[in-house]
Amino acid sequence: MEENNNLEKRAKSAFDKFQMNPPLRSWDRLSSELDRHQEVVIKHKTDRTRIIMIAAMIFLTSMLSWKFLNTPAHIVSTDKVIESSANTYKSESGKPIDVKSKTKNHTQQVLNTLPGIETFASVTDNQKLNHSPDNYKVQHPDVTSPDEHTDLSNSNTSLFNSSGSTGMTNDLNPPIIVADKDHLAISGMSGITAYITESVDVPLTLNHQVSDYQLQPQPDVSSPFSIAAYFSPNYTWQTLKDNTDNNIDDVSMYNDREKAMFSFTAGINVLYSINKSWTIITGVSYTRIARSMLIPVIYANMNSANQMYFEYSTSNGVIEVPLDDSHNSLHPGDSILTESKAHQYLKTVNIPLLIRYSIKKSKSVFYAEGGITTNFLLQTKAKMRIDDYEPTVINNNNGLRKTSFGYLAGIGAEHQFKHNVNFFFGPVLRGSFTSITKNSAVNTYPYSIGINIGMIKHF
Amino acid sequence: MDSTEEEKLIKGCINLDRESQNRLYKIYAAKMFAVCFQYSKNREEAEDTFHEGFMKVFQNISSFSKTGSFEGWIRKIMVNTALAKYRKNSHLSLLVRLDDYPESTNERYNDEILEKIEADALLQLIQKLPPAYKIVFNLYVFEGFQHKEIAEKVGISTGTSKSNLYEAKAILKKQITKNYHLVEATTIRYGRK
Repeated sequence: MEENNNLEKRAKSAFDKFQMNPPLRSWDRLSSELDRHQEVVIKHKTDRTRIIMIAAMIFLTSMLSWKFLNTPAHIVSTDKVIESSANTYKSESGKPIDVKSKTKNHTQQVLNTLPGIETFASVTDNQKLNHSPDNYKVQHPDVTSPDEHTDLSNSNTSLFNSSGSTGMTNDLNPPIIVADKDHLAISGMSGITAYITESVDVPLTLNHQVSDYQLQPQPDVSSPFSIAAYFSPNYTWQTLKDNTDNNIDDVSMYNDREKAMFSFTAGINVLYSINKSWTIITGVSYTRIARSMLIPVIYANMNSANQMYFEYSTSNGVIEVPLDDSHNSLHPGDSILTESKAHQYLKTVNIPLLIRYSIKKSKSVFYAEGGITTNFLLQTKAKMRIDDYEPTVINNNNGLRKTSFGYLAGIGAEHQFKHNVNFFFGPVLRGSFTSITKNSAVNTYPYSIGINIGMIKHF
Repeated sequence: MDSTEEEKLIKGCINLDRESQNRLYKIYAAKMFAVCFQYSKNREEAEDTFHEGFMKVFQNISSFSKTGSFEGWIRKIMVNTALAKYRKNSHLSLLVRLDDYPESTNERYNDEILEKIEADALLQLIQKLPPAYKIVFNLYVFEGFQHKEIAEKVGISTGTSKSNLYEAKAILKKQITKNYHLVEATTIRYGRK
């Protein structure tokens, strides 16, 4: 043992300051390649700038389109005389609705239940009704007789001031317009429920504050739960980080010999609406990540049960291929040139926990969502060809974690397909916080961009 | 070269300043070429590794973390480049058959011989080792890697790494003893008799 150490020490000391002159023209060769490389870098930078500019233009166009869509394009501007119903709209108890003690949503819901009222619109403080209020009268809740009306134009609690804007509004309970083609009701003031109790005989022009959108039927929101099923074709990349400091070669080796293949995610989500805008989402999904790779050399090895196997390292763990009897002449450490191709599949079950922010526009809902996912490794599979040997290796992949954690972020749009059933789609980014490998030469963080396509049922 | 100067040089290389790149090359070229040669089959392969390694150094110099020695970082790139080449150029259908090589020798040799062997002579002996043995020997002795790390880098089992190192030493000892008896000289210089 000592003589072995002496050999090592001597070899080390002999080479400590050992130098050899490189070829004379090696710097010239390097310099000219550096020139070429720098040109490529500049081209890449230009390409990157171009991509950023295109992305910025797409973003800008999207924002402008969004703004355009947000601006009510179909302004209701009509000379049609809208007559009020001779009957006041009453709550179930037969009394006028006192919005002071009820929330706006509740008022809307109650009004929605009234016969003949299928549409409604809400008007906020800064919105105006561009018509004279002179002919509108409201019924004060204290007034029991529907015949005793308050003339809005003279009342302290007038709904409209002389300029035609809403007055006496309450921040908590902005006025609500309830309308269909034959009826109009206005509600939502503190302490007062404004009903149209008389026939009005003036042309009513609803300006931009009351658009088609606002007069669209609102979907029933009787349950906060929804369920969605989706499929997402993905393109998957991965970030590799070497486990050894400053070692760039394992990373480049795997990057060179592995390529992404078609991957996908499919799943079912349960959504719970906290309020009109915010939704919590969870569910279960199945993801298949596929990669193709070139295997230049494989090595023979022996397991603890003295059985021989081939092994090859990938960025997603080391695959062990059991050997048949035809390979019994191999020894551990023997290496075989294969130049073969292999396909590797990782199948995971994912549990997401997401939060979604939605904006409703007409028949569409636009949303942005993000959150975390817990991924459980379900199965590994490798298909390869080594000369005439074509094994499919299932669940014989060392160096992969059983559980990993990731993130998910996406945007999308829902569009009404039929009553309470919406179609949705949108791009989604999925990635990993934690490496999917353990005790491997590289830490692997896959990420993918996909398009979620699915249907959602609102209950 | 002091650390300020080194930092300046690195910064110049990051900014693609050709003069800084040339200076860095001049400082480390001879040392790194020796490293490349040590891990290569022949001088031609060493030249390719050296060139490829230096390109990687210049292309990745911004990723140098400055926590360790800069020379060590360059050396590591050279060694890894050589290893990648080794893995890539394994052209034999059965590259390494362990029992093709002689059993380890029990023949004792005198430590004095070791002291007398010059570096280039020892290098030539190491060069003559079978590739699989040489790689393991170099990584273990010169880079200080453990067998587990060697196994991961080269793609062999830990047991194979240990076995290859043992065999490499055995062959070296045998060669040293043999050449010592053949060459009666105070200084043994292989190929320069």
